[in-house]
Amino acid sequence: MLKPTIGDLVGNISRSLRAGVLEELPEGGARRQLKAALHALDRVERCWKELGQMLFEDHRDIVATLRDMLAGLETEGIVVPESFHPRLRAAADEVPDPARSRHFLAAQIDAHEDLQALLLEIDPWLRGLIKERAELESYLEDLGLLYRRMVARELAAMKGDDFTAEELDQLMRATGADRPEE
Amino acid sequence: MNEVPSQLGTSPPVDVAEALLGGAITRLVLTSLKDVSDVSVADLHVLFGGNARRAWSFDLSFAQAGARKCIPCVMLCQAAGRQIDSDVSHEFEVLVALNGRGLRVPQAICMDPAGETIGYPSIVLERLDGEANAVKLLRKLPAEEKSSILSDLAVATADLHRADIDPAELDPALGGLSPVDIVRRQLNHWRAQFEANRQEPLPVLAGLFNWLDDHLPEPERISLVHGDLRPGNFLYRNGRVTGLLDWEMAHAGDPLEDIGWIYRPLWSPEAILPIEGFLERYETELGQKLRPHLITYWRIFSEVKFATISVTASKAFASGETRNIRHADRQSKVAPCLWRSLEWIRRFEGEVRHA
Repeated sequence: MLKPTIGDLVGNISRSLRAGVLEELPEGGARRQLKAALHALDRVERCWKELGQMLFEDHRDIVATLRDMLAGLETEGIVVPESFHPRLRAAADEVPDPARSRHFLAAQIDAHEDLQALLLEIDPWLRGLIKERAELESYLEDLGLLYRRMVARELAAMKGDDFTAEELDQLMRATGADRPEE
Repeated sequence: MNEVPSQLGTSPPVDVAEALLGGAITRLVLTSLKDVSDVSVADLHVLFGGNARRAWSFDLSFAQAGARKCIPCVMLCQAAGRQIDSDVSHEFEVLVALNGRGLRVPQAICMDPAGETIGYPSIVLERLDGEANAVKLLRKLPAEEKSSILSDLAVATADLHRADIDPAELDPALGGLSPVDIVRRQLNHWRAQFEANRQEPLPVLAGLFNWLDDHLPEPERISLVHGDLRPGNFLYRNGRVTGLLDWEMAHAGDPLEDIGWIYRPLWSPEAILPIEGFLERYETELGQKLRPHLITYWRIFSEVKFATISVTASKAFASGETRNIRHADRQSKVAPCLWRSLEWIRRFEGEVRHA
């Protein structure tokens, strides 16, 4: 079954509730609850198909950036904590071939969470290094640029109402988040 | 003694419920205030009611030391499922510390911190004149009146920050700490809140906490910080601010934290009074020039704090702690905060270079 898509389903339910139920409800707690639910459903309608692509691009970007960063730091004579390389390799291999996996999206989410956990450890480690060797500052700048691309992708994929579509396009271009192959 | 909420929970007629609550308030006043007799509660009605906090308005009258006193009051009752950890006794004690200093804050009357009399943890405060409607302030009032209120908010904020309050008076654990360590406690508080409530690692937000820690500025002074000062949390009337409300996040810290929070984009009064104008008025009142990068630092802090509140609200909904659907999608509010923080870090670095 392709139709209705998840987006169509959620969107049609939202429109139906808005037209048939919301109007009937008096001001008060129940109406506020329904309005909040409709707001969330509307966002799901806009963003449901964006998640897979965002995870895919983010995964590729995080793995490539961390690989380059750790390799670069090793050439500077820095001893990288033992667990970083194996965890990075594992996360890189974690996403299965979509043609062979029934749970491609779930695997992407798991891999992304593993990479997030690795970043969580790399950030304070790198900051600690730079306090001792200021000449390594550019690696922290690279991490900051990765963060900007990750947040830009998330904003573009989540389709919230804080930024216009035009602003999101600009943000993707400005951070390079729209050019994953680079 | 929980008779009032259980009675209220069975939905008795409104006048019966109010009579029960009025009786509970009377008992609370009799047991809390010294040498009080002949207490009466009149015109009791709901001011607002949400999932987290409910407010009742009433007129309190009693005899004390041979004189009859009449005080317009508001009672704030705290319910479950909150986005922030707070207790009403903290808010009450902050107000007690501020009373008698000529500040625009309500007088603290009495409290029921465990809800033994009222049924919910509750505080009774003086009801000040004015209204707190943020939408009306930001969108509907005449431009001149809005601008006048915001300018007066700068004065009220400076008055608050000028108040000479010993941090240890607010929290004995602060006694003997250096100013920067007092400020760091606030940062650590929000980091702990984030770590306890995140549903995934969220490395960018964690990295921003690391950045804030690395760049924590030496505060020029420590003062009482309101902690949630924004449109909706102060009263206004006739172009003036008549009272600052909602003190549950108040703490000792860097006063610039309040300015960063007032100008958060979600409720920013920037279109009415640009932050530069606010700062000019604030600086004049305080007699002190502020350094731009410090303002930017506290704007970044405010984004990180709001992101943490959103993470906490999202977790509260996901875990069933609250059924308020407004919190269901709060996680989607995190990324905009992260983006603004990353942008402002660039601005901060530029300002530091020019400082």
